[in-house]
Amino acid sequence: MLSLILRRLLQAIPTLFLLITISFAMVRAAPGGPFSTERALPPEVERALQARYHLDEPLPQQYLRYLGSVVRGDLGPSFRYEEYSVNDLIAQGIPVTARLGLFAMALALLVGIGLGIAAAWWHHSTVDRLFMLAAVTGISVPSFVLAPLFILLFAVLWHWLPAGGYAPGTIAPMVLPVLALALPQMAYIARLTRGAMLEVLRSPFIRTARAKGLGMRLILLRHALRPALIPVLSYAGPALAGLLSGSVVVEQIFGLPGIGRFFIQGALNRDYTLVMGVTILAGVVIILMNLLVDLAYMALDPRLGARG
Amino acid sequence: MNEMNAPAASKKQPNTNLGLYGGAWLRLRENRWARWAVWVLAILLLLLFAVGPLLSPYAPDHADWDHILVRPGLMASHYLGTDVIGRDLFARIMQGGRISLMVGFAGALVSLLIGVCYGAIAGFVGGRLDMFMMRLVDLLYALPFMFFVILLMVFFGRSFLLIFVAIGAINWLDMARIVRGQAMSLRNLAFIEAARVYGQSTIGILVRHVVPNLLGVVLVYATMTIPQVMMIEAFLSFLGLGVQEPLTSWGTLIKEGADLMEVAPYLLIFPGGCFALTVLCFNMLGDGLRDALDPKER
Repeated sequence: MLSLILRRLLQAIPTLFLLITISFAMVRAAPGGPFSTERALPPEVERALQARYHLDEPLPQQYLRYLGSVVRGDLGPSFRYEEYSVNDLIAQGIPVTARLGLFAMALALLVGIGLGIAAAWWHHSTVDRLFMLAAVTGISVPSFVLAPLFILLFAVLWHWLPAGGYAPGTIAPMVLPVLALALPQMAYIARLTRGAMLEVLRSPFIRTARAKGLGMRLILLRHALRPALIPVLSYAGPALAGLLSGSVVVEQIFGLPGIGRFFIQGALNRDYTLVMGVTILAGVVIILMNLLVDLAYMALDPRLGARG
Repeated sequence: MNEMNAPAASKKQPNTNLGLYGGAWLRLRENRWARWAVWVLAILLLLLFAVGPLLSPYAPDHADWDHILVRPGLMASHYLGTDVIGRDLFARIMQGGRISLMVGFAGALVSLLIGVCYGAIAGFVGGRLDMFMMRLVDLLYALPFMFFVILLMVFFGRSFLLIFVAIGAINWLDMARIVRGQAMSLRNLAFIEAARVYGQSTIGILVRHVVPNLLGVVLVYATMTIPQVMMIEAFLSFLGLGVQEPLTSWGTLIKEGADLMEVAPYLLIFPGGCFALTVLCFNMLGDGLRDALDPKER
């Protein structure tokens, strides 16, 4: 277990290195700089600004400097929000984005797995067909169509829930964003669970369990669920990546002050460090998530643990 | 391994004389949802690319200043109403659909080409090259690609070509993995051995024997990739980074509709509905193809 974690963390190093390098290269290859967008600054001022942020150094030196500071955990100063460092901005945005993502993920997993199990158990029944029709519809309607529709229905027409106005500690403004983000993933997870469950339910050990006269609930939850969850888990890593990029749009629509909004703002403002910081953060989250998934694999399938 | 599988497979499918694809075709035709999806898609393609432009008297970028925000059904010639500067929504949905679908097909083609070549080579050659190539895929999997694509679009303008390249570059990874697995299982089969004994080169074997045998998987995956690519394009367009004025796409129209939905909900509902329906049909067709080619899944 420990060796797996260590090995994964070692494997993550080249990934992170690539991530930082690509972000740096992309940001620096872009035309226009952080100080050249709005109005032309006097040359001395611009030179002073560039010197302050070390933009006057040769690129390789800038790259090494950035790499060094990232290794120390410092993502540098923001070019646009002058008072803040990128670390500050990210720390501001994380609670919002994390809450959005975690709630959406939890909802999608819980309901998705539940629906998938039900559909597999009543295979070929009306329930199965109905759920799967709903699921294929669900994966076809993306968050950015759902979100405005939800606002239109629940906020504008029926006044059930607010469409924005996020403040720390409030729950109501988060309901619609979480739903919009979770539904497509939920549909996908339901389909995956059903497929995996059908596969497992056909296997001999389930037939034995049925022959022994075990009840439905026992067979499903005690015997079939564990192996059936493995493909669902391996989807969870990419799903989180999807949630992260999806929350870029959802945050935009609902006016939530999360990481995604900073990212878009940063990209439009050529705020190099902010953009790179958010991208690196997203990469780190994906790497950590994949590690968690691997650990969960071992919990579900003991054979994997024995092999190391 | 394959010798063990072969008898079981032929027991399951009595119609083996039809060949793999013949049986699959029959099963696909029995699938009600897939049949519906094909009909809807056929009508849609016909409407978008052939009949649609003849039906509407308006050009998609023609601003009819006397008829701003006309509701659908109020005017005989503006079937679906007009937007905030009086452009005909029907004509714009037609144009947007053409572009969304073209992006979908082209993006899927790009990712398919890269993915199939990459996966076939890795799986067929095997050994160290395979290990290296798949390590690279694992590595790329861990990168937050949507973020890169957004940066790409923001920084380097929003050209059409770039959209294809960016989307193709994201989507080939899955394809490469799937094709590699299939190619690996093909590698040790007798007919490949025979071709090698015959003196055919590795590239010749890849092109003439490996790739044709991958067609089924590729077909399923391609059908599933088209809606994915359309989603990405719409996502980018929604952020204002995709297709630019005066051209439009369903994503752009959804964005415009979302901004105005309190005044004119139909501007959101019609493009959103068309988009969702199209993606739905592709997904259903993909499901049907998968079930048809791999009947044990059903």
